[in-house]
Amino acid sequence: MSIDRPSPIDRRRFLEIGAAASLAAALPQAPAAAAPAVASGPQRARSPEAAALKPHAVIYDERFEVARRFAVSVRSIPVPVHPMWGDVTQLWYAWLYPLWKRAPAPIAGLTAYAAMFCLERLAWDQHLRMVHCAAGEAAYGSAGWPMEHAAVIARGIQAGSLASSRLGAAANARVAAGSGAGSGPLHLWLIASPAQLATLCA
Amino acid sequence: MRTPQGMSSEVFSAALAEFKQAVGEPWVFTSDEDVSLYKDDFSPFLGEPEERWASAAVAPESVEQVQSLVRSANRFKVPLYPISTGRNLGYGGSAPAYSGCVVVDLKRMNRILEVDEDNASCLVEPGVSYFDLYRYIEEHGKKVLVDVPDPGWGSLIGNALDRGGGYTRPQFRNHFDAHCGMEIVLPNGELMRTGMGALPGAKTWQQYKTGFGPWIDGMFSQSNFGIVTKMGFWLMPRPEAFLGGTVLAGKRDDLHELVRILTKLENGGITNGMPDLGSPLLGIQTIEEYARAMADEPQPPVDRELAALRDRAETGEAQALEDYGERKGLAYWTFKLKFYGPAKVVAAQWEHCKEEFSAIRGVRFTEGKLIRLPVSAQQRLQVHWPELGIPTLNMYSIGARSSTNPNPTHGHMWFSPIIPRTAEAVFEANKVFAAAARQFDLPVLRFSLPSCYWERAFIFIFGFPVTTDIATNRKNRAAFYALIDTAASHGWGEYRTAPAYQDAVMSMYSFNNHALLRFHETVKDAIDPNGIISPGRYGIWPRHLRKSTRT
Repeated sequence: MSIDRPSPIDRRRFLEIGAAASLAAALPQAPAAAAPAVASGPQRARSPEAAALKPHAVIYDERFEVARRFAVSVRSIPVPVHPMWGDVTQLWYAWLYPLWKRAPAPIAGLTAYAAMFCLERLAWDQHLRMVHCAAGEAAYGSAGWPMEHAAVIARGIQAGSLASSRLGAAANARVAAGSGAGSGPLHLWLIASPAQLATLCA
Repeated sequence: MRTPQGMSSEVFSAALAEFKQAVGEPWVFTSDEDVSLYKDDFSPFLGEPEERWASAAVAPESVEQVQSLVRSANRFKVPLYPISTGRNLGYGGSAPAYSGCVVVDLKRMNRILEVDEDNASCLVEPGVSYFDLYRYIEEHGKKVLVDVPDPGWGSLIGNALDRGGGYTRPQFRNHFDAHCGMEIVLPNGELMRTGMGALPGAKTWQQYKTGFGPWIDGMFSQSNFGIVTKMGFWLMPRPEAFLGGTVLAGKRDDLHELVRILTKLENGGITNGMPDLGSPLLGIQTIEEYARAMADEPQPPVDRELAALRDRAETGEAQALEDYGERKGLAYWTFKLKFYGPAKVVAAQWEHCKEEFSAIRGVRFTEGKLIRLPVSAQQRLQVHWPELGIPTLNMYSIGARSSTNPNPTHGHMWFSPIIPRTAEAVFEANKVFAAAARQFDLPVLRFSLPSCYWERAFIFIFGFPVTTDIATNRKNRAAFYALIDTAASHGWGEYRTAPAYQDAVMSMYSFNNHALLRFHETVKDAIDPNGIISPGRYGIWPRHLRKSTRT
């Protein structure tokens, strides 16, 4: 998977000059049991053990029809669902920063790569890691996301499902992704404490 | 566990044991999972042997711990690479310039030590991000405004030391210029304060910059002469109002007078925000428009006739494009001016600017809505946040997939040459870079406009994609190196670059047989004889690594 036409691009023109790139290697690692992150302290690394790794809240990018459908499908789950529009800044100000200030709570989402990338790096400071991530196959704006898979993440990873399913494979190894330029723009992800994940994997 | 280059695992383990003693065992990271977090996500060497790597990371929480680490590093000759928040993406990220360094992650040193509203200043530690300071200012109701870069999740100290920039008044948007006083752990572990901080009992550390004797603060920016553990900054007293006004001109050659008048007005302090240049006819967005596009707002389709005319105009045939613009009411150039101050004053400043620009035949003006600060929630939806000191991550969507960009990039590296602030230089640079693009088999750039981050010069900021394909990255690197040479041959030098290119850029600043670099090296050898602080950063290598690594 490669870029067809490398291009030095004026910052203003980055959007205009297309260059096909792989998403696969762009996805973050999913360490099974990483050590403490630097900003939050080891005492915050030990979140309560649970039978399932459940997200505290679910984020979706409402620019995408499939993400909107995803949001509707998870409304039955008793977990807050937060919309966003491409950029995570407003979400960060209004909700996520205060949440993580109280505790490094796990979150899940169906968003574009840029939002996921930003949230992952913000999560590192809370001793949270990307423990699951997968790219969608759908083209921009169209349907096609494996909704069942998304719903499983939103409801929480169960210990049993982790051991045998592709969720487990994703959580314990470098995350597999979509197929480069043809892959969809959306990423389904779960950010959580690696210690909690390790407990589930044990 | 990897070890620093040329160091046995026994010696490294002994050093790590001392590091653990200094900062506590949980704050020394050696597992692959943790250390891999310090890779540069946008490394131009992605997946290649040359990709920079750290051997370990350590996270102190106090100045004393930093001093202790530095002393231990000297004993064991372990190279260190301090980072503040490590989010310098596009210019190197958190990866060391020299593989094998132990990253000193200063994120835990995140105390806002003071925000003085009367003096409009602050004193912070390296782990304080723009988000942190903004939130503190809001929560404490301080009537000050911090100039933020874009994106705004990085460290004030890190961005200033790398000489980053923002959007507001010139003395604040040049983030290094905005600093006032530093505290530094020197390579021997000694603690030093600059400016008035060197005078015990002085209450003026954040009031008077230079103190007494040589003013050496600049030596700790883009360098490897110490670890900065505190830094003061001047903030902008929150202005009563913000106003934007746009100058629109219809002819290609109007650019000469536009730039001349703009420079006069900006140097005189009449317009005091960062000017934002664009061209509706050439399809060049202002930064503000660009930010809106990244937020994935629908963009109007480009008229076919206009698209064809643009291609011809960029090769010098401007007349047809000018005619089209006249027919359709589209400007060739737009200069958006910004004003911070009392409402009456900014209105008068804009009036004066209009008078000055009226010397250009056919010039038109549009005026933005006066915004009174602090901005309301409703107004926030209408403004470009960084212009009002509100950090955002919106810029991070650069290169991302969107409705207008179906082919996202993995990352980017910035090529950022400084050019003279004249229209002649803008036209010449466009010719030169277009020719270079053809020479190196890159897509030929359409006409570009520079940015005005720095008040006396223009800067072009070109993003080279970083891909996941090694062959493509190699080709891009070769082109990047070549562009450094090409730019330098015209007297244009980069203001900042990623470690992969720092040797190359530094070698261009070669007046009198590299007297400047030789001076840096003399200083380096004198104050850091073991070469433990950030070897190779900005092309400054310690003596024992100099010959083997210099390009």
